[in-house]
Amino acid sequence: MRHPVPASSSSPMMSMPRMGRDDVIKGTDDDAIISKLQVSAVDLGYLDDPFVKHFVKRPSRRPPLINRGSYLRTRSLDALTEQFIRGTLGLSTKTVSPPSTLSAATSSSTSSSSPAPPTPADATPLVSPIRKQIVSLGCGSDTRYFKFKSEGLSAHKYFEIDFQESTAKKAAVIKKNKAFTDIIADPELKLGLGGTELYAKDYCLLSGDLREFVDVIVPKLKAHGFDTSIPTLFLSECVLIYIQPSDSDAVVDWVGNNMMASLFVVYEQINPTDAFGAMMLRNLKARRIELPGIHAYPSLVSQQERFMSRGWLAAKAVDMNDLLASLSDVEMKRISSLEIFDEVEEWQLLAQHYCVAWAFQVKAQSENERERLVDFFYSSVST
Amino acid sequence: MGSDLDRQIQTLLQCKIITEAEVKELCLKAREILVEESNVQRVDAPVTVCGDIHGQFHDLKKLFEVGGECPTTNYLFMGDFVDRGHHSVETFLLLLALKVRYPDRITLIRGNHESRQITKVYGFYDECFQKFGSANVWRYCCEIFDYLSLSAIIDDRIFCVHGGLSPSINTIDQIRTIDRMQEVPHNGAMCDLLWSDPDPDSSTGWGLSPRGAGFLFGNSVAKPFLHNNGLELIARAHQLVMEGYKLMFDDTVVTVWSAPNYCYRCGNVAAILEIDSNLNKSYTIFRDSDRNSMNTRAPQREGPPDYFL
Repeated sequence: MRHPVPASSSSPMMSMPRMGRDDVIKGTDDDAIISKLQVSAVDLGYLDDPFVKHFVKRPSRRPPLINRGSYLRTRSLDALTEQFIRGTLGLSTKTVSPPSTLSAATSSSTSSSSPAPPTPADATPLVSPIRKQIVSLGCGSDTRYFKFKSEGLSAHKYFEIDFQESTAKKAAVIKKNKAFTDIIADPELKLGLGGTELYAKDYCLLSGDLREFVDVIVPKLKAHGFDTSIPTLFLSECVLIYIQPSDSDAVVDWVGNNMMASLFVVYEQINPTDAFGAMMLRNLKARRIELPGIHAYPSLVSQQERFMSRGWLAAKAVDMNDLLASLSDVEMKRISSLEIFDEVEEWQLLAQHYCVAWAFQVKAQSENERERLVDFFYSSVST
Repeated sequence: MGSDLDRQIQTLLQCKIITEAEVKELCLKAREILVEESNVQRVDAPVTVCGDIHGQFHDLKKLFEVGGECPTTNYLFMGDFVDRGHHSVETFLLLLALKVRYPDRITLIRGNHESRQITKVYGFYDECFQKFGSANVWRYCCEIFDYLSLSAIIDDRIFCVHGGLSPSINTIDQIRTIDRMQEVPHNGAMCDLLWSDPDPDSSTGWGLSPRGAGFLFGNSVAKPFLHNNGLELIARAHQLVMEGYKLMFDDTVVTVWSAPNYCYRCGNVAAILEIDSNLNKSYTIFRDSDRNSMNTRAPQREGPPDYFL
C-alpha cells in the first residue's frame, strides 16, 4: 500500500513532470490511513473509528510512537471539529432582548414603556442553533464525516476536496458500501464527473487541485451549496505544506477575505532546520516527497503569524508534546496501557516537529453578531 | 570450532545471515560462556564502553572502524543490541559470535530490549521471522538474552549498566544475588537496572519513569551509591543523546549512546567511551554509515522511516 513512486525516474524533484510529483503526494494518504487504522479500535484501541478499515487493504504494524502520534493528531482535530459542530451561538447579553426573530418587532415598539425587562444577563444563556459547514482540504481517505454523523453529530454541509484520483477511489468505496451510504442516508446520493465526485444533501466529495482553489474549487463549492455567510471550519491535515506557499497563502487569503466566519485548522510539520528536522527532509526527499511550505512556516510562531499577519482575529499553534501534555490523567493512563512505550526521547523529538494550528476570522456586519461569533469560535477552540 | 566460527564471523561481518542450525550451535556455545559470568561481570581496563546499537549493523561496523576491531580493542557493550534498526539479527549474532570467539575481549550485558516481550513489539521478532521463515532463531536468541549479565564493573571503580539504579539495590553485592536467568520482569531490582534513567531535573530521590518501568533517580541517590560502593562513575546507555554522550551529576553518571542517526531518523551523532589502563576517559564521536543511505533497493522493511504524512 505504499504510494506509487515512479520507479524508473531518477531525475531530481524539480525536473519531474508535475503529475509525477503529485502522485507522490497523493500516496501520502496511504501512509496516513494505514497509521490510523493501526491505532483504531480494531487493532490497539487508541481510537474508535469503524469506518477507516474500509480504506485499508493490507494493514501493517506501526511502531508505538507512530500510533501515539496518529492518535494525538486525530484526537485533537476531532476535538476541534466536535466543538465546532456542537457549538451554539449565544444570544448577546449586552443587548437585552428576546430571540432575534422577535427582537426586531419588539425592540422599537416596546421601548421604555416595557413592563418587564426580558432576559436578564445573568439568566441561563439562550442559544440559537446555527447552520455550519466543514470543508476538508485534501481529505484523502479521512472518515471524520462518517464517524461524527454516526454519533449524531453533523454540520449543515460537509465538503471534502482532493485530487481526482483520490476522490475517485473514495467515491467508489463509499458508494458500494452500505456502512457509508447508511450514514449519508440520502436516497438522492449520486456519483458525478465520471465517478470522481459524490453529492448528497449534507455531504459532497469534490475533485480538484488546491493550487487552483480560487479559480476552480471555490466556484465548484458554490455550485454545490457552499455558503460564504455561515460559520465554516476548514481542515488541512498535512495538505497545505505540500504546495508552494504562494498557493497555500491564496487559500488562506481567500478564506479570510470572503467568508463571514471561518475557523482554519492546520496540522503539519515544523522545525526543518534542527538535526531531526534536517534528517526528516532528507528522508522524505529520498521518497521523493518535498514539503515546499515548511520553510515558509517553520515554527509555532510563524504558523500563528501566517494568519495574524493577514488580519485574522486569533491564532494559536501547539506541537504534539503540548497535545500530549494536555491529555487528562485518565486518558494518559489509558493510552499508556495500550502498548509498551520505550521511545520516550525519540517521541519528544518527533513531537517537536508536528504542530496543530488554528485561527479564526469574523467579518460579520453588526458588532453584536461579530461578538457572538467570536465567542462561538473561542468555545470551539477551548481545551 | 575455530575455523567454523571464524567463517561465520566473516559471513556476519558482511551483513549476511548464517543458517538456523549454525545459530543454534552458536547459542549453545555462548550459553556455556555466559552462564559462568557474574551478574556484575568484572572487566579490566583498558576497555571501550558502548551504548545502544539497536540493529544498526552498518553503524556497528563504523563503531569498530572508529574504536578498533575486536579483539584488538577490548569492548563492553551495555545492551540494546536488537530492535528498531534493520539488522538486529546480523548485529546480535555478530556480537555473540565475537563473544564466543574472544570471550575475554568482549563483554555483553543485557539491555531492556533483550526481552521476549519488547522484541515482539519493536522489530526483532518480525525480523527473525522474515529472515529465517520461523521464530526459531528468535527463540534461541531470547534464551541467550536470559543468560546475559546484568552489569559490569571496570577495575572496581566504574559501574556499567544499561539503565540505572534501583530503589531495591544499595550495594553491588545485592546485584550479585539476583537470579537473572529469566525474562526481564515488570518490576523489581532486575527490571530497574535495565529500565531506570537519571533525572537531571531532580536533584533528589526517586521519581516515576515515563517509560512505565524502572525509576528516575536523582543526584542524591547516585552520590551515596557511588560512595558506598567505592565507585567513581556510573556508565549507562538506554537514552538517546543527540550529542552521543552526556555527563550528569558532577560527572558521576554518564549516558553513552552508540546508534548514530537513531532509527535512521533522529539526526544524532553517536559516541563510545574509551577508558585507558589508568581509568582516564575519552569520548569518541561518530556519525552514521553511508551504507544507510536511503536510496536502497532493499525490501520494504528496509525502507525509509515513518513520518506522519
